[in-house]
Amino acid sequence: MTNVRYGFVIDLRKCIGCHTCSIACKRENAVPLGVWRSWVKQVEKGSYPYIRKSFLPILCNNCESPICVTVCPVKASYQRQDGLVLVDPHRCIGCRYCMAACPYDVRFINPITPIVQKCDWCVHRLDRGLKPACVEACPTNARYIGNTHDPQSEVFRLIQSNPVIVMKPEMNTRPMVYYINADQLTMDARGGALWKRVHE
Amino acid sequence: MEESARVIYNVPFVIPIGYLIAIYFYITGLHMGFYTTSVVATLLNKQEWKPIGKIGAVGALIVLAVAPIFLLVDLTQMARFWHLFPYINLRSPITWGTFFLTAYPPIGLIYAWHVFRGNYRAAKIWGLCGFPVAVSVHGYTGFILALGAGRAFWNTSLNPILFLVSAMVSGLALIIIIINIRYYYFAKNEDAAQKAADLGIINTLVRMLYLFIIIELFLMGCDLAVLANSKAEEYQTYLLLTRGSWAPMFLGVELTLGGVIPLILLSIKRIRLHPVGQGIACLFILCGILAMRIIIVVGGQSVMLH
Repeated sequence: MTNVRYGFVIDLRKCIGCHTCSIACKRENAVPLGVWRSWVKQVEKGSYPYIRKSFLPILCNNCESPICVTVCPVKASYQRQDGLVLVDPHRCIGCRYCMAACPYDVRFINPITPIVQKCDWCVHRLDRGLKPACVEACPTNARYIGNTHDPQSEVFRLIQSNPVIVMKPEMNTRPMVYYINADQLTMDARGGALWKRVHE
Repeated sequence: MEESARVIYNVPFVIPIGYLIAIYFYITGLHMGFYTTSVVATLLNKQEWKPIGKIGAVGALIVLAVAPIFLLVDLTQMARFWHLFPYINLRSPITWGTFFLTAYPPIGLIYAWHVFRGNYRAAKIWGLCGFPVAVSVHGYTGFILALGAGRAFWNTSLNPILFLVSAMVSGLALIIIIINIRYYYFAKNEDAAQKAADLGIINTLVRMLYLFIIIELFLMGCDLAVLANSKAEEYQTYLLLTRGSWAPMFLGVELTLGGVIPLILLSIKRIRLHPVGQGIACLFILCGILAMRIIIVVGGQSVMLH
């Protein structure tokens, strides 16, 4: 049994919201117009003149307990031993149940093929010992990937030495994308607007 | 301190599962209502209930012949539907549905054959054998939603029960309409005793319908109460249903037109006993249940997740 468990760390202190990762992903994976495997959410906080922008790169969390794998009726969505969740393009029937069940809404129907696709952390590159296109392209080195079981790896060190959070931990999916310096308002689907309404 | 934030860039969210599936859920609900009423009529083993048994048995077969078409058309890779058989994932409710949808037609056909042949002992046995399958054909759709953990409106254990109850409501409503049509247009030559018995049956079915509407409204009330007092996504769903873009359909069509108005109509004795009154109430109910399926399936995916 492999002792590799890939994890992704995004250091939001370094992210400048340039969208280079999104474009590199589009080019690497030939993602058609209108759909995204990975993108950067931009949030504006505060009020004039005290405004600042926050960025939240979003991609598939390749969860440890992926709901998409559980609900796929034909096992087209499956999980490798290293934790990566992949979609078998020859098996997917396009029922889109995985898209509806994913709490992070990171799957899409490729309008050309048409089957369900998602970010697979550039598995074709990882298997050849390369980093994913977004990690390679990030100009500020805000993105890291590596083996979370290996104490020598960069991601292990970053996860252990920083306050990291994951998206929607309450879903019990155990996401493997860790964010450094993310705040609740940026993570919230409505930028905290609802949170404010509930509690004000 | 920053109190709020505005999302200035995000990718648009999509609604993956659409109206075709909502209609499919609706049709399987009608199927369950038809079949259950038919089996109850067969088990009663009374001469006057036999037409109901036949109508239900045939109706169940017809609607279930139509339902899978919606499923197939909805697949983006329609030609691969056969993958559902060799590549089985027992944890997925869609796989359960594949079993039930495959198992029901032969059982339903044998049951209907015995009902029409007048073999009531065999019809009872096959009817009872098919009952869990027929309930599951619709029940699994509730589980599809309940196990869709990403959606707050879906991920509740109430959904399978609510789906079964609303299926009985819609099935009974359609059967009452059909029986009324039969009674007033196709059973003119029946003797007075049979006609009186028919009216008695319609009355019984209307009473059953009334009871199921009350249960359905109670379950919806429970669902709403929990949504209103739960986490942020649940609360957002509650706002969507009561004040947001889905409010006219939820409050207007599902609750008022499909629930409260029929309940009031059927509470008034003169309307309850009149075929036109029954027909109007039942049509409203059918519209309301269709709206309910659409709201749960499509509306349930209308909350932004990222």
